[in-house]
Amino acid sequence: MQIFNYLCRNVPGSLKTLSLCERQMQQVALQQSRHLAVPGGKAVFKRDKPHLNVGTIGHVDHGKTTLTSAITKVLSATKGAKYRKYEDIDNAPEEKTRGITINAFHLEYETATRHYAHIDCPGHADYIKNMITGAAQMEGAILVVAANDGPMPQTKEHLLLAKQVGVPPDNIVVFMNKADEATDVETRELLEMDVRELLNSFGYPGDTCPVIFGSALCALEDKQPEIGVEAIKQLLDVLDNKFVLPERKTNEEAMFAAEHVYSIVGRGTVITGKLERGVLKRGDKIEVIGATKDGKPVESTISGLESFRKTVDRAEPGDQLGVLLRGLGPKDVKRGCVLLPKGHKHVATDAVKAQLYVLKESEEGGKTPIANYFSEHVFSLTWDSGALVKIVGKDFIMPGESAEVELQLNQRMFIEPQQRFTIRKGSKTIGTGVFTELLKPLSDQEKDPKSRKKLMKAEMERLGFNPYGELAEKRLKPDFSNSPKDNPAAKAFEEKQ
Amino acid sequence: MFRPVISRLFSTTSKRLAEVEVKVSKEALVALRKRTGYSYVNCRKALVKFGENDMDNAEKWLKEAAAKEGWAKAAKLGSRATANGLVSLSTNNSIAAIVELSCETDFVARADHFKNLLSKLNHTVLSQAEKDFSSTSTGSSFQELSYELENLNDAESGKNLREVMSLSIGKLGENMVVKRLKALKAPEGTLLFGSSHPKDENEQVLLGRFVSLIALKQEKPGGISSQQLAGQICQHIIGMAPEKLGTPPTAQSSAGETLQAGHDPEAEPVRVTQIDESENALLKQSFMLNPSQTVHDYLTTHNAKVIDFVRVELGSE
Repeated sequence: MQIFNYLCRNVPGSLKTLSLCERQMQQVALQQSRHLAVPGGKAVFKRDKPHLNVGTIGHVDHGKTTLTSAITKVLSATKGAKYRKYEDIDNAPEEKTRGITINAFHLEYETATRHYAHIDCPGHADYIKNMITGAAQMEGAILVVAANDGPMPQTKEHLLLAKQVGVPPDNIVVFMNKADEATDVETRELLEMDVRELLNSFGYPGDTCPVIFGSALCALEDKQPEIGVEAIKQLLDVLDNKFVLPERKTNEEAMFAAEHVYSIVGRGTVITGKLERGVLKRGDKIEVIGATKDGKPVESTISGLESFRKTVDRAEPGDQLGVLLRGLGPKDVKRGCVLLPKGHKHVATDAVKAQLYVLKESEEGGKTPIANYFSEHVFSLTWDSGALVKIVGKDFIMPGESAEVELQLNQRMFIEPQQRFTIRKGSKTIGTGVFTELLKPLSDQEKDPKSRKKLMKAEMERLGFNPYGELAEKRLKPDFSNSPKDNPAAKAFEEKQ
Repeated sequence: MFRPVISRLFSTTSKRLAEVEVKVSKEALVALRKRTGYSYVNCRKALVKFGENDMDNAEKWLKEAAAKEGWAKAAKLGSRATANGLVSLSTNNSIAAIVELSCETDFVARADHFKNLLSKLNHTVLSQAEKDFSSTSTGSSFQELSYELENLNDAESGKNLREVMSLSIGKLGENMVVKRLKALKAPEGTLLFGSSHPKDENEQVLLGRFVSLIALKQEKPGGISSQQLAGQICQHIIGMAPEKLGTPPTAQSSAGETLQAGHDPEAEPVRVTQIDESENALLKQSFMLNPSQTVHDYLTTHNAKVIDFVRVELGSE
């Protein structure tokens, strides 16, 4: 079967497919060169140890950078890291680069048992942004507290951040830095008590959480090994043995998002795209979901698989494929829908919660904020859709800010938690985000513009003030003028003033 | 939250104090730390110096030490960049105070201690301005006064604000700088209204990275209350950053929604909210909360006029 051949020759829209072929050729070439790699070539990332993303949080002067430097120094002895001096980290190009990944210092190191990515950000908003954009995650936290100062008034905010970015209860450790400045037992005990109490108040297991007294500076200067190098080793031991690995998605269920759909007379319908994960075989019973208003899945069977003009019996993750589907017409599937094996548990939805970051002008974003009930154009996987934005806990989102939002899409789409999306306006990307929670698909009533108005009004009255004033003014103005006295919301609002 | 803890600790402390002699006990350390909030290392020093039975003197000594440390720390940290912080706004009838306080990280800007300090600065400016502004104000724009930190004293403690600042710098351990100490008076017969974003309030002071303030004149009531209307305009000013009032627009603006094509050229194009980003005159801008009309149109439907406005963004000049 020569689906691709056919496509390349006959379909005008298959330019992309052609370029994919070329890319594949390049890949082949790359693979060859990799085999022949000369010494000094780029190192290949070896995935032979479990990976964990950790981060340091703490007051600016409590020694986060010194600690990070000390960790690399200790691990460089076992070739687990490249030693980074304090100055290198403090003035790292990473810290200075501008763009979306920014304002984070990122390095990697490995112990005998685990591989770590280590992140350090200057501020709360930076961590949140990194989490939303997926630039860097924090699955474990090292809270750095200087023993001479003890917890600061803002240490609470550090723990609040750990909570917000979802650091699990077991994955937090306290490093009491500058231990050489608080040597007596009572003071240390009290410091420990203080910090444990604080941890407890944020839902972290304060009573069992490891608290390590040490001095990152001593480790760097090879002094007092008991609080220097040994303390760092102790800290690494906690990371290795106490921190739990988050459950990585080892989801083997196949997922294939359609980029293009072609119908071939007499053969059926072909969808092309990349197999995101799992395995597909000829003869597999499948379902196609998403990109439809009613959200009804379409069933079919794979009658052929092809990759770069060659028939494939078994497609694996990452393969660029053409999938021939039996018995489907050209209107049954379209770009943006997703192919899943029959028996899957996914439900396409048009209502979803998400974390959204709005790009600043200096990040090539827009100048204006996103306000409640703005209509935006959302792109994710291979689909795109219009979406109404509801903002949770804020009146509007300024460029450079992030917020929780609820999106109401024009169509039901394939969405999974942690799936990423962008919002574009013209040729600009003005926002980027991650879906967090699927909501029930909108009812017909919710989708009806008239009843939407009513719902907004009800919401406004329920709240007693006017977070939806924009909409109230936009669509409900007539209602207001007809019955200004009957509106309890207005009264409540005035009382509030 | 801390009060019950303190009283509990105090009672145990006083009991134990009689038993323990020279060695510094944990209980005393805890008590002094809770009472003063200073570091254990310093609390220990104070207790060694004065003994555990003289908590008052220990506290006094700690406070003096803190003042010294605060000044020293303020001097030491003084050169570090302060890119974060908050702007504050409070109003009393026709007078408003705007104070901007910057710090190094947004962790500190989120902490209660920082917010309390900023509220204190703001209250001081507002009460001073109430004395300084002449009783009547004519004209069609805000009257403005600027203050210096050194010339103001905290009403509660009588301390100079510079000293209040350095104590806080000692406590929070970050450089902090007051970037703005301003008071404004609205023209006669206008409603003065302010707003902040992201919205936060502490001791009747609005806090945020942005604040806006308007003087609004309304001939007769519109569909919604004046406060509500003023609040919406304030939100618009923060969001759309107008630079001047401008003149009413002559032609209807065509802003609102535009159609935008997606991946699939055959699919129905997507409707997206569109706003002209280059317009910087308030009255001509499309109203953020309803981009299909201009601010001027919106005000007109509510029989209102904006006489003057101020917008302050954290870190702006």
